[in-house]
Amino acid sequence: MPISRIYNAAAAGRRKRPLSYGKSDAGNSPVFTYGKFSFDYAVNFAGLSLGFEDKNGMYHYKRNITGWKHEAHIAVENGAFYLQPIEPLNLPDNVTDFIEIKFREITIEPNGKTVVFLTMPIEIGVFLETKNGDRTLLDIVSFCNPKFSLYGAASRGVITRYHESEVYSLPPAVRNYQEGLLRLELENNTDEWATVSRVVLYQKGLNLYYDESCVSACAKMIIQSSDVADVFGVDQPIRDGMTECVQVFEQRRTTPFCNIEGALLDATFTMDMGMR
Amino acid sequence: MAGILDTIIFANLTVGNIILFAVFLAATFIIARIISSVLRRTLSGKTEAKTIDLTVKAFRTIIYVLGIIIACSQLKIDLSGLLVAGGVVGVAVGFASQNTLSNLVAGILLMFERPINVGDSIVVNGTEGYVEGIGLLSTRVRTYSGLYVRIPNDSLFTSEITNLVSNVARRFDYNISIRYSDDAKKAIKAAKRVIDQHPYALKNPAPSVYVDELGAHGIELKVRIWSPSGFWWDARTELLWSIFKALRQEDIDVPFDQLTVWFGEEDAAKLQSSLAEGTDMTVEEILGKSEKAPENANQGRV
Repeated sequence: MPISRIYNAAAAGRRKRPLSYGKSDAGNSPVFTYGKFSFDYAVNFAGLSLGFEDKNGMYHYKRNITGWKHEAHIAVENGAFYLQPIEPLNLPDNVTDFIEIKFREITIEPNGKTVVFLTMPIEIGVFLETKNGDRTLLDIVSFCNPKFSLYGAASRGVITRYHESEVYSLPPAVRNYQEGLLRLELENNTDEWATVSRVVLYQKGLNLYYDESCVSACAKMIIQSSDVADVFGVDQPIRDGMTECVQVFEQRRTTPFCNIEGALLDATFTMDMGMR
Repeated sequence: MAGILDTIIFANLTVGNIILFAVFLAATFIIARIISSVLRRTLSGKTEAKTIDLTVKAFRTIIYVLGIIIACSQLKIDLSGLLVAGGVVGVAVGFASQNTLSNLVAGILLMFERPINVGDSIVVNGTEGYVEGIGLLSTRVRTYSGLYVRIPNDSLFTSEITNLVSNVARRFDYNISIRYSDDAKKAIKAAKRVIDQHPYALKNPAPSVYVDELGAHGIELKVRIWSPSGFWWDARTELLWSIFKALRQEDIDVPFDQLTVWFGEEDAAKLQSSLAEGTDMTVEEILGKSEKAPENANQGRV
């Protein structure tokens, strides 16, 4: 039997995984509204309900998301609150400052460049703002189930917030309350073919943007060798007219569980323990 | 110029001696400042601010004393008597504070080796707890039950230290027994499903659940889960009960230790049926599901 027929027979027997370039099942999903609201605005969306009750000059904040409740008393005059997407590193606890996105392998030619779109989990921050513009984080909710992983070895690695994504060549429709889009620019700086199937991002420098239907961030991955790549966030929206999110990064402490010495230079993380 | 320097001012002291005395004092001051600054930078973050201050002051004092002794030689002041007396006192003090000195040296070595840091969860000589502070002479540990334990640095340095959070992730294990009548494959699937849902059960290294042993009373499953070091206890306490509930939902249960004793040549089936006589229960309910499969029972003859 010719080799081509053997290959075809094997390929026919193999279960094909669906490719989803520029397609997503989230096209008809309801859209969550981010932005600035007055205290008489209440949210009731996909299992999330939150709002403020005025009780004798003091506001009573109540939130419930699928049975997980939070309440707080707020003393503020002429204030407002914001609902904004934030990086998915706050729930259920401050475990890590790194996001790891696993995707199907991408093989890049020597000295080649490409741009792909990945999905990334997001959390929703509830911020309070005074009439003078002073902001504070009141609450964080999420529609995602958090999962963590380890990049590298236990003795020399980092805990990451783990997420799996399809690879898209065009921005797909996503549920803007659950996932954001990451525009990842891949640059192979080597003279050899390189294969990538994961990216580890440091939260600093990964700025989120949102508009009425999408949450996004941009990052760049520069491949330095077959096992090493530098990854850093790029502060730009994926399209015009998007609003920059409040960075929670300034308000949280950096996780103590970051062991890699020399791998983190300001906002650039060097993935030196493999890219697959 | 040489003439001026050799000019005698008082007794046999020359201008040169006075200048050299001043130069030595100034050099001592500058060297002390530089060494203090370097020490402060080196120790910063490795130990408490209080300890850093103490160490810096001790080094500065030693440098000042040495500098003054050297400078005094230019003033023709004979400090040999003082040095001898100091030496004798030093030997006496040394003998008296042998343990203290060994603790001090151990404390300095601990600062440089850094097997533990403030806030770490450690086990030393049977003491388990959080490191509250690393001093020059001793290390303070707050046990998990809230007790204050002071460990001399000498003892700490020469002991085996287990730092539970030194690495970013750690593994914990469970041994779970199921009955021989249960489907181990189904049990493994149910356990893995629960583990996958828990945020602190790491995706990588992947958790493993497997049949570890065919025990005397049931099938022994081994569950191995990796978790972030700072959160492993949360995961460990939550997951065991969740796995148990998931197994129960699949009608998989933990076997109770049982020993069935057969007397003489009496028929086993007859004996079993007699167990339920006079009760509202069936034989299966009395013996448990595992007894349905005869090979599961520990049969002994008397």
